[in-house]
Amino acid sequence: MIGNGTGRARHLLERGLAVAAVALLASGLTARAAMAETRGFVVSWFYMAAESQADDCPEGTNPLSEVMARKWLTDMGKSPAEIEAAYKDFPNNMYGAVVMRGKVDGKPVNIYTHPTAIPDPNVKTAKGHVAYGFNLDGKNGPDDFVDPQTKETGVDDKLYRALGCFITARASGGSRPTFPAIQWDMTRDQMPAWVIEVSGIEHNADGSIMDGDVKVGFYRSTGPIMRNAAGEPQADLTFQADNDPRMQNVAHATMKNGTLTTDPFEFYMIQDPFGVSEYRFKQTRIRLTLNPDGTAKGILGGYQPWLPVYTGYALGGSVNELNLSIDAPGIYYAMKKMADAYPDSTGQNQYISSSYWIEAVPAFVVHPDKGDKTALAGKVQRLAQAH
Amino acid sequence: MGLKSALIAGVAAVAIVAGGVYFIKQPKPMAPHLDARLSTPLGVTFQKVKIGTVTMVPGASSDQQEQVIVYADGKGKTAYTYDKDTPGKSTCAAECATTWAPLAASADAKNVDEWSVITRDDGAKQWAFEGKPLYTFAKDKVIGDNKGDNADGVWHMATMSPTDGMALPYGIEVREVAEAAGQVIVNAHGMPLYLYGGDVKSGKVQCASGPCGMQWRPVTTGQLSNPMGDFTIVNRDDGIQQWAYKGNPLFTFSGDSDLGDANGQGADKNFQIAMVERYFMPPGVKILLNERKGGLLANADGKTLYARDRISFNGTGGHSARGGDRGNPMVGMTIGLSGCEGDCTKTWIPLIAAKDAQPSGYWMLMDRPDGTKQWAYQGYAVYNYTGDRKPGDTVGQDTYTLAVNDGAEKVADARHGMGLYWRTTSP
Repeated sequence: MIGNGTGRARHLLERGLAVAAVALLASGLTARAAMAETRGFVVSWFYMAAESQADDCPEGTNPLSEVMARKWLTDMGKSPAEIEAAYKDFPNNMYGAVVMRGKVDGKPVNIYTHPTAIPDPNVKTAKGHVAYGFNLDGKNGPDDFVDPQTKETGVDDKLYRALGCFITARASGGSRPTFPAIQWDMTRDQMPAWVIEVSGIEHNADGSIMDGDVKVGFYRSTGPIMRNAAGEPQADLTFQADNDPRMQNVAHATMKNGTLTTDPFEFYMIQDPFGVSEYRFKQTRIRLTLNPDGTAKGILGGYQPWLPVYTGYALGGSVNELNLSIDAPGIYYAMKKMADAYPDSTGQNQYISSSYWIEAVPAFVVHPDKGDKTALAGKVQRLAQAH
Repeated sequence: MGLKSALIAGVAAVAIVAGGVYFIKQPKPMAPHLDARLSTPLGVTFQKVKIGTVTMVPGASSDQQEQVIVYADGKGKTAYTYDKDTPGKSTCAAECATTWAPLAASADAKNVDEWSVITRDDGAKQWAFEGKPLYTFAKDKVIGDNKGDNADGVWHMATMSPTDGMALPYGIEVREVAEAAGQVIVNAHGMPLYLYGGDVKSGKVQCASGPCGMQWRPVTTGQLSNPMGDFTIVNRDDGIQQWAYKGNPLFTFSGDSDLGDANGQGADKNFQIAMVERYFMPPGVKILLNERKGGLLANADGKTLYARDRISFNGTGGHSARGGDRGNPMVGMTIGLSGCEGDCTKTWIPLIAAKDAQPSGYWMLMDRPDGTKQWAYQGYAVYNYTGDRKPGDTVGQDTYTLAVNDGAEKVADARHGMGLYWRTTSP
């Protein structure tokens, strides 16, 4: 009996220790889990990054559409009288006149679907060395840029080289380039919003964000943004992440001084053909600063197919060319020449290095198919912690 | 209760709750209303036709124009009536009938509701609506053409008018409700009304699962309203005067908020949408609610149906929006089956029709190279996507094929402009 009693006591002791160990482990995990924060955001702006410099375009920028159109019409063989007639009430009388300026087998063709049906107009491209982004290929070549924010060298952004001398693609000092901003602004009301979730955020004793590992999720939601009274996306609304398997962009990131940088990953998002129909970035990196006011801003860089970028410019046809001073076939040729990755069987590169600004405001992101986990908007979560 | 019993009960409760959650999360089938008359017999379709002057809408990317729904033949050509015909008798023959082709009925076609089959002098069968023989016009070439309207002052488009002979109280109308696939009685805000199967005299409303909450709201009358036609007034004991249609008290559903919503369908079996006419649907095809897109057409297995559409300039977006881009039937007919040929059909599976299928309503048929027929909705051939794994999936939405001709290097087939994309089909 004594033996049994001793054994029983030992058994109880062992069980007690085991329970205590599990409880300790669990409490540790819970405490750690409780410390980690998840912040949700809805993307308010997404557009081609530009930090245009005075000496970017040493031969000057590409001309305004009023100037370009005269050359187009002249090249089409229009008489001076016809050209002057087209210029009356510019650009309203011009929209139809410039569409069929290509020729295939001697017959006029739509220049937007046949951009090489005219000779390369050799539009002016950016020659500068300042651009946001990342050194995607690990090399530091003479044609690369320096990021004005991080001072990283070897930055690859051939998209800016191709478009940077069109005045509606230029921007600096925090402004947004006109046409890329219009493309986003006009589509975001009717496209499912893009949402970002940063999880695993830990804090220092002073409340600042601790350096370390975090996870970034970039999803499409099921509904569009809502605008506030100022016309900007309303913050602190709830968005449901779409479970469409194509848009589950998740990457590991390293947080340092409140700015996270992801490891390279593949990124896929649908926008709208008025902007870019589908973004298919390879070797994507995101650098995102989580601001104290709950917003976030940063850069997405990577290689993307250039054809969808072209169609975003060309789909609007002469409306885009004449109102936004672009030359659609010129852009086609420029991007085709500048493309710097992923060649097809002919050797023609199909992808072009690119950088885009991401601006985001705090939002709640929910995943109903994953048990309704809610990512509290940063601002609200901090309020909750404060109380 | 012992521990074991408690555990079993607990597990059962969790299972029930989980099952309930699972059930709630499933797409909700919305069965077509069974009592409403069918809008069109087999062989007759209808199309939306633009009429009147273009209205410039400030801020809109395109101009707005009034649309009416007109009856059409199996290929979508607008149907007309002729003032000189007498009820049930066509007076358009010989040369007239070459310009105005009688809308042919099949040999076995039968009268149904307002639709009748008349026999022409040459023995051919012709459809007539409300006794008026129907014709198509030789100069109409594509869906939506209405060049024959008011020709010689005696030819008129055969317009769908579900309220003909129907007395409607002030504030109550009949309109197309897309997610119900039919013409439905709606309130002044365009929200559909629902018929309650029980008695509301006591002021109490019983849902199938128990007392109703606040989701069903009675449609009240004005203080001076009078009954008219099939609309009567229920003087409830709680002082509310409520409209009833054909003896069934009318309600709105709080879950309906957008024009075209019919979310109350199937929500409770004691309520049924107040449908006047229901549209034809191919066997098995149904409308499922999708959280992102609203109502979507699906096959008998609940798999989403897609159409391949032309990428077009749309300055206000909308490709992925709720309701989405419904396209242009003429564009859909132009694309036909060329949007998905060869290996494409291994990934995108055509919705094949039965051999004896006939077009009706918004549904038409396209002849496939292999001799089969494929269903087309509002002019677009429809397909299922093999990438969709379960009912309600819309993984194929917004799949693009861009097409730009690059001189000798043909980048892609640019037969259809700047390319094609796949979109879900909304009713």
